[in-house]
Amino acid sequence: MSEQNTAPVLEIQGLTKRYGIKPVLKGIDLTLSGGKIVGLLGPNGVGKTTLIKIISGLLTPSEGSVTVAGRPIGAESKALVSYLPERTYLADWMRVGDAVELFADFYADFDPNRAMEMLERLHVNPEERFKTLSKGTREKVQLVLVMSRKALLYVLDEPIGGVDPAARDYILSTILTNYNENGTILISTHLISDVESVLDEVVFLKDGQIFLHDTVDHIREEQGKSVDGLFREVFQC
Amino acid sequence: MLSKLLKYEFKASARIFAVVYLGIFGLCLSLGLYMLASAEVGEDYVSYHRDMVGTVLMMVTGLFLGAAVIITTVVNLRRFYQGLYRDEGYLIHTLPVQPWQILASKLIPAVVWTVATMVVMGCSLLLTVVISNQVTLKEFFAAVGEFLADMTEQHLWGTYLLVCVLGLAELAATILQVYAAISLGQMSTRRRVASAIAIWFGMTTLQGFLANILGGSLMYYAVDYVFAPYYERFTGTPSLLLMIGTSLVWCAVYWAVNQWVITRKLNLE
Repeated sequence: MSEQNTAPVLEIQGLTKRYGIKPVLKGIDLTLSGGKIVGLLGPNGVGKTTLIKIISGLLTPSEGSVTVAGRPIGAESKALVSYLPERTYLADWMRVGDAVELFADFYADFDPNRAMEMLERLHVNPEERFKTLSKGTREKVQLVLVMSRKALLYVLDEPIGGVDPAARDYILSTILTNYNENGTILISTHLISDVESVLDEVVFLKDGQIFLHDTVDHIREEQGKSVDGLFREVFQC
Repeated sequence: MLSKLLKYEFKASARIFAVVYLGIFGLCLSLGLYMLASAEVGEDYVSYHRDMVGTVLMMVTGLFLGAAVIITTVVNLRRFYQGLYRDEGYLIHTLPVQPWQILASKLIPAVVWTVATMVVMGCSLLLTVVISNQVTLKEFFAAVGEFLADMTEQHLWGTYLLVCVLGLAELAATILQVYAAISLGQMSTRRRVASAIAIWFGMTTLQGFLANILGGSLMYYAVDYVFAPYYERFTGTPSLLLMIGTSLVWCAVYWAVNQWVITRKLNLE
């Protein structure tokens, strides 16, 4: 069995992140194994995006360590992580086909044929430039690119935030039908009721720390309520 | 991976420079053709107006050449800032590449485009001169041949090669200095552009101060002593080597600053 299969997909130890003197994440410990869909849940501003950016290599931690399949965050871990940010990050000048080519160039696990099939279903012409696409279409194209990889860890930051219900269904369907089943999906969201049915585990982030990490089934059995209900109780204003 | 990054980078900037270079070429060609036509017209009412057109054409060409230099600088800086520290950074910094490859993929195109702009400007101006019959192609190549013969006779190839290397080293150092200012500026929580500009002024001042302090140092005398037997053959070589070495040291310093920010202080918000 390869090193990749035995090590946890994601291991975080003592992770702290400060902006100046203000701590956003405080001593986070988290281990995720393969083949799970994990919800990273918490209200706005609690540190979900900060945690995701550290995993993706966009922020450097103040303290602690993060490894993906035993590899510290760097070029090797980035080859295993497929990241979907909250914002559109593909340049206006690029054509959709250029973006597909870029992903094919850099990621060995990227399937350009699958990407092109999904784009065709979206009626997106590969010759179109990103600046001519609507915001919603750009986001869908980014999602297609990310989910066309057979990554070990998918990190999706608020993939269904700010979109209409029909688009949410499309996004969730795309995620579930295209991800690597041996990999793990970490979805950050505050729209719990929309994703609860697909989650295996949830991580509640509160005041920069992990408040809860449990399976959805166990929460329902022990708490006698849905994850959404527990969330409302934990984070009530 | 570096070649793939360079492919992406050149693709992003080539379409802008293609337009600029076509503009330079077109204006210089037009000016050359106009000067050729004007040479045959005497002093009369028509020639007065043609002189006005010629003057305007010359001014526009001159302004466009100046603008081309500014555009080259702005494009290179924007590609760095937006590619590393704005939205496009979410793509670049999540690619499975090493930080030094990201830096090299910005520096190399910046140097290439800067040199290319100067070459295009030089060739276009030559085109103007040749087309307008100020100098024929035959005369031009005869002058080039004479120049090359002189260089060979006086053993100046080495010196001119060193001058070219010095030019590239200083260009790279200047670009890396600005990149370092931008990188340090993005560490600020507010007014990142203003911070970068202030840092750049500080760096330039410090570099000038250090150059003055070290300029009269024993280093020059030590190098002179080593190379003294070869003076007649390699005129100016010791000073050129020292200047190249100094530029490379600054390249290394500013490269290290950029690398440090990217690997330890990246803060894409």
